[in-house]
Amino acid sequence: MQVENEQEVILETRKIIMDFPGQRALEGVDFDIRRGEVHALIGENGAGKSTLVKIIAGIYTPNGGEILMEGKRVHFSSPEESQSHGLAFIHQELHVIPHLSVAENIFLGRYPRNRFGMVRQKKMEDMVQNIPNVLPMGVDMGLMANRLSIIQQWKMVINRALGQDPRIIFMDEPTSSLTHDEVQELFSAIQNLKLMGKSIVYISHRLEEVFQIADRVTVIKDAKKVGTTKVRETDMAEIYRMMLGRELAEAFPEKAPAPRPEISLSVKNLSQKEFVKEISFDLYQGEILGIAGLVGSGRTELARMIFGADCKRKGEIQVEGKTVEIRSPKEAIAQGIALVPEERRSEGLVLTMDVKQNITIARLSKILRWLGVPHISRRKEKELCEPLVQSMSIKTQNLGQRAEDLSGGNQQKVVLAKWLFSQSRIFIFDEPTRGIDVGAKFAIYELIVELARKGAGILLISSDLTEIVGLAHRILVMDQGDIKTILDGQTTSLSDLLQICLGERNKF
Amino acid sequence: MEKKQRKLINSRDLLFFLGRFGTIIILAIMVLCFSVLLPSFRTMGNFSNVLGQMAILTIFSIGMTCCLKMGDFDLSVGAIAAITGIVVAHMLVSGYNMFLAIFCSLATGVLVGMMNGFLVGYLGLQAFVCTLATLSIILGIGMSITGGMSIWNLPYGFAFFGRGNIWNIPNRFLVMIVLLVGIWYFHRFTPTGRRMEAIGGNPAAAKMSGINVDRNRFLGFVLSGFCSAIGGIILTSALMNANPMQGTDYMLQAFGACFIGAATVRIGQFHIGGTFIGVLIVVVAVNGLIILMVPGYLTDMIKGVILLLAIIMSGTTGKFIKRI
Repeated sequence: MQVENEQEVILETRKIIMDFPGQRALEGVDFDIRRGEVHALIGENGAGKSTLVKIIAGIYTPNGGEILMEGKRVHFSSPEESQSHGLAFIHQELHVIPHLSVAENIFLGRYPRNRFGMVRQKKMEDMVQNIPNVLPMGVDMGLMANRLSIIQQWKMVINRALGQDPRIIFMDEPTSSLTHDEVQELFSAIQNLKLMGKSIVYISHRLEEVFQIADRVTVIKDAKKVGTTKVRETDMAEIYRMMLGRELAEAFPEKAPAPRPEISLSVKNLSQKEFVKEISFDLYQGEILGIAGLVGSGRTELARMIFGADCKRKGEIQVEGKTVEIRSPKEAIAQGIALVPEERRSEGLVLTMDVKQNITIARLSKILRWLGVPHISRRKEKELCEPLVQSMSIKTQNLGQRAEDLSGGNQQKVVLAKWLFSQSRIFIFDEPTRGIDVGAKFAIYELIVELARKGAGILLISSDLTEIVGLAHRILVMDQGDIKTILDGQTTSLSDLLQICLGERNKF
Repeated sequence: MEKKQRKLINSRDLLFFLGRFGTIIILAIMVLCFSVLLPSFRTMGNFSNVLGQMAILTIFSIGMTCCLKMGDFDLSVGAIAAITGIVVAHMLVSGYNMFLAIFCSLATGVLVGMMNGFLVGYLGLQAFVCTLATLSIILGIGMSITGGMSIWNLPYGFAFFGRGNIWNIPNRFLVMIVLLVGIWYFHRFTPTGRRMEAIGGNPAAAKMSGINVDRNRFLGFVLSGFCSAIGGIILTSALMNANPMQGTDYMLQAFGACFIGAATVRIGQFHIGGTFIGVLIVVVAVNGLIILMVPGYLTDMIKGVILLLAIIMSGTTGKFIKRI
């Protein structure tokens, strides 16, 4: 233990502050990396992990604070500059050029050339072996990169980073697309790198992996650093408390009253290729049914399928007892189903249109007048939108403000207002509070509970388990397209749910 | 925004203002300069001439705007104008009733638009290449009908649309006004127009809001075909002959007008009002150049430069606007 404390700090950030328009992304974050350690950086989506890494990489310029390398103050104004100081970054999207060979991918942009400026193919393939500490890949260096498996691509990209002889390697969510065995393979590669004296910053929101691989862990929450601890000296519950940072009861409004006996939505044997397998459940009026599960468990696919956004599916959907055919979002909306999508900006809103136009777009018939041709009455539009905007307390200068200029929370409210305007009775929320700041989250929760109180059926999909525990009447846990179990939202505690969700992953 | 301007006019606000209203300022400066410098520009005769020239270009441009609005290029506009002109001329010289001929011609335009719309909207083919293919097909059909020659000797009464005047206002200008106001109203006040606007802003979100994106894109091409047909008929009536190449000359100018439109007021979006400003700029510039007796090949070059500048200013493609 003593030895570890004396390990030399290579890189350090002090009081980093970063402001984005209308939002503080980092607030005085201290962070340090020692030689030969695996340092996990964890936090929810949007907590500020990636922003911190982008600042260190020189992609963003911080509004305050400083970065020190071996005690000397440095300033990186571009990724090239940080690279030349021995930092390497491996992003989630691997930056693999599919139609180049493995060697070409490894030496991307730094090809050895002959005197005519031609790339020396053979020399390059040999040079791979001379990279210090290169990870063996077991494939021909002339193979096209698109023939590699994901884990081989990872090794290739790590080798690319090693080619620049880095001292610190940053890995952003490396396991999101790997199978269990591949994760173990990656971890042993990381162990090797560590033994060579490289430092690794491992960015993730998966606690169980952190406990397997990391030496130290830093938790970031809502733009602030909660703390850094040694993994050996803590446990999962402690880290989770750090990530959560508050008592559950405070963060959520009072739960909606017990559901009514009438069924709102019922799905039977819904399937889609390998993503969703024979899912059946009933949703009652006034019920909030939470859907938990890891990314890739089929949650989003299920939501899109019910909404008719993806055509290919099998199974039956019933709305209020009647079997309905849903082949497009249009037909879903006609049945009173609404989807608040995960990708708010790209699927929820037309950013170039204004607030009232975004609200009315799904049901223009309500604001029409007949003037020989159907005519949109701007007066009606205004009269109908104004009370809606007020009751939801959407902060906007006027109804003519463009959706683009609203904050995330208000944008989400506009998406919801659209579905209230079109009188939907079944609401599917997919990650309703992602990227929304804490204050606005509560307002969204209140709106969801209010909808349930009025008798709407609500499917709440979220990666934020606290949200599900805090709001749902029942919790449906999905794993690899299957329903793993259905829990009672009243009696299930956060740690129970966490154990069940994590348990799925450790098993396979 | 209001508060900012009251405080001080800083360079960013100025740039923003110039970005939005720059094209209108350019138009005003051009009209002013030509009026002062060129005596023959400010005559009543030339004014009427400009109105006439403007009419056909406007009709093509607003058709194009209907497609561009939703992100689709319709390159076949000129070719549709040619084939519809040939249809109407061919039927007239064959002795058919004028209104029947016009009806068939319009139907041809709509039909070609439907074909484009089907291929692009429902089959999901790329509009740019697809309409290039239809362009070639239609031109080929036009050529085979006429044998590559012009059709002359149209009945005198047909000249009413392209050459007639009411109180010095060319009839074709009146047709243009009706179409312009009609399409403007359609986009601004009808539910279908609103849905098209949403598709132009964000097709994915439009679909998730229950809009049938395929059908609306189809409709855009039909509108474009319809406008092109009207343009083709009026062009034939103005020239009193029809030939397979007649519409192609307008293509470049029409695109120029549309892209200038996308650089006006609502930057990066195609809209009818902007397109109209674009048409005015193109027509005034070309008219001024003709009065200045600039040789034809130079005019072509200048048209190209105008188109290029318009594309840059519109910020519909590239990173230019974002950098400001």
